[in-house]
Amino acid sequence: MVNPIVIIGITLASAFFIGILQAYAKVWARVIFILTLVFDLLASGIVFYGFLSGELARPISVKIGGFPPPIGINLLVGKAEAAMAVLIFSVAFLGAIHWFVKGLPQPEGKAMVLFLLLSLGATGITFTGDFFNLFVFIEITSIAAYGLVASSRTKGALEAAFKYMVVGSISSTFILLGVVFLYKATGSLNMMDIAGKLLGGISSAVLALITLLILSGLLVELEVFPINGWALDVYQGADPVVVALLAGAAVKAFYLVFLKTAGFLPLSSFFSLALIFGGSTYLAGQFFAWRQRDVRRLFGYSSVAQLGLLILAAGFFLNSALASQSRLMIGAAIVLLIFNHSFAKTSLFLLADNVKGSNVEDWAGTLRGNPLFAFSFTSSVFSIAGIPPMAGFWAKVLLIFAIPRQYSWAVALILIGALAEVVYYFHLYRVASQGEGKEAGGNLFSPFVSSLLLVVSVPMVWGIFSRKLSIPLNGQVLLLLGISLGIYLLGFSRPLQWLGSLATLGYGIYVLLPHFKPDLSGFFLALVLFGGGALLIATYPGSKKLPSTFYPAYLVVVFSMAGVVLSSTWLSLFVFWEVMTWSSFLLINMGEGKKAAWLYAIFSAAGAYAMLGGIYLLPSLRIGVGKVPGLLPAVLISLAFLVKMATAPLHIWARDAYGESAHQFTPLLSGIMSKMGVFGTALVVVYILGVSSNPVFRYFLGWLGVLTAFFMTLLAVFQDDLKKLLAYSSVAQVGYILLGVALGTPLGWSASLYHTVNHFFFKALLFVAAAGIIYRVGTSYLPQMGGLIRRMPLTFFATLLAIISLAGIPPLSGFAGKWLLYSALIEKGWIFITVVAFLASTLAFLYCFKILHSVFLGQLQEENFNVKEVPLTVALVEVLLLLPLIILGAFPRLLLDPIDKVLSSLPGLSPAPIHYGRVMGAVTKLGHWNALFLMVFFAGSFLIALVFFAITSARIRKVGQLDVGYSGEVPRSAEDLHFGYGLYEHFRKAVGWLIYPLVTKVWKGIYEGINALAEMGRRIYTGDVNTYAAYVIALSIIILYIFSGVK
Amino acid sequence: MRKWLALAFLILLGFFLAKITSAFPFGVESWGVSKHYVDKGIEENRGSNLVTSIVVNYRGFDTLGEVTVLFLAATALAFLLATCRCRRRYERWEASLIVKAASETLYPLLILFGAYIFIHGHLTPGGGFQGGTVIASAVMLMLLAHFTFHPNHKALSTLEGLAGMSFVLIGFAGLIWGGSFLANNIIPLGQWNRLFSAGVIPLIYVAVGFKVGFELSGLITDMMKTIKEE
Amino acid sequence: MAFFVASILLILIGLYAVLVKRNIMKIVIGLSLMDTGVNVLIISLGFIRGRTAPIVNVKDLLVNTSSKVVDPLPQALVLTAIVIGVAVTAVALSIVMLMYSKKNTLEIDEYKELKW
Repeated sequence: MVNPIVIIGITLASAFFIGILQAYAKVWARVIFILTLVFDLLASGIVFYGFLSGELARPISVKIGGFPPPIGINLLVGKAEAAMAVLIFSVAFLGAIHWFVKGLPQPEGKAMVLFLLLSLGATGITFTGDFFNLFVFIEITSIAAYGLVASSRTKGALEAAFKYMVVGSISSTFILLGVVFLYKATGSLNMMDIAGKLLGGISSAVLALITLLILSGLLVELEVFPINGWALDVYQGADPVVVALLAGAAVKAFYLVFLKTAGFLPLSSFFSLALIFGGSTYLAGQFFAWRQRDVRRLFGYSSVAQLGLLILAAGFFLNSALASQSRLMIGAAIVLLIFNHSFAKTSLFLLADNVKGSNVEDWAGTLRGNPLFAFSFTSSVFSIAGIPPMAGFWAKVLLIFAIPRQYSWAVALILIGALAEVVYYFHLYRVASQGEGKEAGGNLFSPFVSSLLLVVSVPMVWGIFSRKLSIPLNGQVLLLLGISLGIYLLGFSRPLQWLGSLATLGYGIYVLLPHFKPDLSGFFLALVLFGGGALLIATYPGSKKLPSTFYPAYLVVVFSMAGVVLSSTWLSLFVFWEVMTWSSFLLINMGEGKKAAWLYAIFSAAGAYAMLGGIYLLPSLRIGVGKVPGLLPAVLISLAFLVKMATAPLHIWARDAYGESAHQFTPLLSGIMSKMGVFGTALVVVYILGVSSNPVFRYFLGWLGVLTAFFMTLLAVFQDDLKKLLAYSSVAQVGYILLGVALGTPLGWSASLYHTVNHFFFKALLFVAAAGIIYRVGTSYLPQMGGLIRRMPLTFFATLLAIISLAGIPPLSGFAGKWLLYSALIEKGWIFITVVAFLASTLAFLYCFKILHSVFLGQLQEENFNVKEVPLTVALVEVLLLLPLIILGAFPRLLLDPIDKVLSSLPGLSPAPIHYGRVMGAVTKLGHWNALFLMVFFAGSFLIALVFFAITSARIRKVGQLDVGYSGEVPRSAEDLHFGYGLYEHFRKAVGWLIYPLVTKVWKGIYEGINALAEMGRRIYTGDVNTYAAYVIALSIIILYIFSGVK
Repeated sequence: MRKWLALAFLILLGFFLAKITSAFPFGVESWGVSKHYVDKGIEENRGSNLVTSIVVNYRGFDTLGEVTVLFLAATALAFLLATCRCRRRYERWEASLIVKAASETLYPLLILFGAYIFIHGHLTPGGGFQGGTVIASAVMLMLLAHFTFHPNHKALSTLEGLAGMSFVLIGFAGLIWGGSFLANNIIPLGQWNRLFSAGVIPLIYVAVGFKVGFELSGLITDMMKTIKEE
Repeated sequence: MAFFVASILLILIGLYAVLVKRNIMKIVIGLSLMDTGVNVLIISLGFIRGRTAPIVNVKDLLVNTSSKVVDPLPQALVLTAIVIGVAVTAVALSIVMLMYSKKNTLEIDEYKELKW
């Protein structure tokens, strides 16, 4: 056990000692400096451990000067204080190491003294139990900070230091005045003593004013909107090491004092004060960052926002009207937020120090240059943006679920801010991860260690807090996720990673075997695992060009989907949903798309946070039939699923995300991940909406589905990029599935589930084939292909069958799905929808033909003469996916029977009214068809035609592609002559207005609108020190006026 | 416009400050915790100057912080100005003979006076800070009067550091032998109103006196010396 | 009472300089004035009419001291506050010196590069 005073005493003594030593022995000064920090870290660690182990049960009060408080000053150190000291000295230590490697500012001895005293001041602020002593330590911290901020002596640094100094002086004047008045009013300066005197709450107006005076001083230091201009300037102008220490440690100490002050001086209006200032600071910070081009200032805005969130949380934490369980949860959330933000920001600011140039654009390619940099940056950004499994995620979830229902606007506010955060952080992420690989500076030890701390803490945090929220996360899935991450270690060899992944997936299937039951989860689980496994086979040779994080991320997507379908609570579903979203984000980001992954991230985050809000509103977290008040939870939760299905008007991310994601990942994205949206919507319809109730909302969903199908089909028709065409087609098909689910009848569901599986077969097949073709040809631009039938006969055949199935033409599997869907629609009587659905299906022929013809038929382009058939693995998967199309075509019952079992397991649904009267025929009210007969008939016709073609093909004369002559014009390039070039141009003239990018423009308009508002908002930070000071005065007047109750 | 707005803000702020202050009638007795200091101060510390008792003993930790703040300011100033290419805007004239001669005479006397103040800090008004400031003013006088006066900067900062460390060491001595940091029971308290009384209070105040004296001298020297002549 | 009024006025005058003056030195002076105002206010809060200084150097004061002297605590606090004020001013001045050496001006309008 270490007496906390020793930490302060030793640090002070060595600061004085370094002051002497620097003149004589510079090296020893450095040694003492580091040793002191190490000692402090260890000593505070021991104290903290004392609290953790239970050796110290209650906060220790250390008297100084030999007199018990309130006569003498005392230190008051509890668990929170000890933890804060550990945090301060860890950040200081990391900062110091970074500083040493980078080169200390001269004269270095004095710089070290300032640095040491800044961390000492922050510790003193944390430890002290006396208000006036608090003021002294605040001044120590501030003065050291003024000096250090100016340390780089650039114009910006000096300007920032000066502004900080002016505003800080006003703030400490308020605090000093408040403390002295407090002494006059209560006769004491000791915190506990005063708290004891004010136990019942503050009743006198004067005491309220005094408390507010102190609080408004602290709010300046806590960088509350709009008095945080100085802080942003400091973040932008000062040495990143200093900024890391300020943002990572000192401000957190101020926050703890703020909490303590508000706790000891119980003001009844504190709750609303914290909510108003916390909330506005949070939102302002998150949105003003949007237009910020200077990265450090951007981080500054983010820090400000995080502090705002902390202040908001403080309001709830100290509100004694709340249940103690909620307050404990909020306390835990605060601890996590502080831990998370301190290390993440330390890491980010120190990384910023490694990047030359201050603008966002200067970060381009930095993630590709250095894996350490990439690791530190990614984990820090994920932490701050609150993405699972990082601590920030749990903090947000804990906070949200602890907030009582009557403050649900606060939850909405937190979620909106979190979304805004995703927008700007992932914009930076996008820039940093794309472009030419660029080697940033190599001073990465400290950022790496701090982000490592964030990552290492994950299992602990995950374990503790999932118990605290009582969300059972499937342990087997977690284990599998862990193993998946381990695949990264095989990164030195791509084939080994591939094999390892296959083995892991096999193991996953083995482990999760008991869950393959004939219910909704089991149905989708089979799709996820077997489908994911099959598609994994085809990834191999193509993955050689992808980063070594491809396979881990791929497996994480697959297993998190397993987690989603196996969830028994909505919250656990949300957790896995987020894991799935963000791991797939990484995979999409590996493609060539410039904005694809970013757009995907924004829409997914919007959906996910809407879902979280919806879950928050649910009366019970369990997934099961229960009474849900109102439509709002259902709407919010389905938003996430609609986004994943890319239902219009939430579809604008899909084209590029599908089209430009890593080709090896797209089959999974389209074939399986979009079905998670179907799964989710199914859950919503069954358990929240009820299959037979809320007909209006389901009718609305039906329209969404069919309009998506119609418009996406139309967009696909005019698309010239193979993958983007398939993307639109995929989204359109999922629209049909949504339509079936919305119907809520057994027949509709039967159609949807059937189509879900079938769509996986043919769309995965198409995307796998596309990946293979692109792997060989090197482009996905249709007019640059053509004639590939001669080089890739197998792939052609596979594509042909897939397209027949897609178009829903007998005899292949697609027909059954379409037929069932139309039957269901007619049975239900949704006539208008049926008409649009028919129209969309017809249009689909146009793009089906386009794929087939543009890629495989016509003439072979010269560049493609040496193209070979797709790689063996791809061919294997093509065959694997091809067979079910034929088999299901002949025997649809193979799939419809299990679906019936699934349907009978769901409340409110029953097996579809299909009779299988004769051996292979299916009969509904509307008619019947004999699948096997059709298959035999069509296959026979096909064979006859093939034989005829084989006989007559000898008479065809083959000419070169440019062997044309029309009107004396010389063809410019082979592409212009391609049949697919400008195909449907006449058609576009007729109906092109239908695909006017209205939705895209509207979303863009919203984005631009928010940007413009943010731009206007951040102009309040004029950079003028007079103005900043005026804000402080004005705000303190407002605080004193509104919250004191004195008129 | 700007001025009127500022005035409006300040009037409002003044209103609130006045509102708070008016709750405490001027010049009327209202004791808080300091009643203990006044009534028990002599008994517990033997120092006649109660303010000193509070500053050095009851609230000695504040004073340690205060010393740190001063040290910090001196360090920050020296740190920042070390590389400053600061220039003087106007020509500097040499002081007249009278000033030079007088300052030379006053210099030792002022230092002696400063020392007197901090040595008697526990008995009479004043103490380490005041004494130190007087010493620094002597140095400042010399610096203003003589171009050639160069205090030994290295020695100043060494002595200053030692003085600061001895403050902390006395604190630790209290922790080891007296039970708490800065405890005033490790040496005999002595008799009331004598020079050698009040335990460690005069020791600490001497250390503070030295520290403040050297610190401020160093600070002034730094400020004057960094300015380069044109 | 006059002390209260004067000290609050001092604080406000100092703040006025901070809010309105466009010269960096004047802003620093304003901060200094504000400090002084606060110090005067603290001292006058500890004042008790008709009492002597809290220095017990005569026998008479030894008994029943608390009815004879003013409150010593605000004086002790003000000592600390003064030193801190000096320290802040010193650091402020060194920053101002550096700023001047960079741009050769003390006009605040020249120091608005960091904004938005």
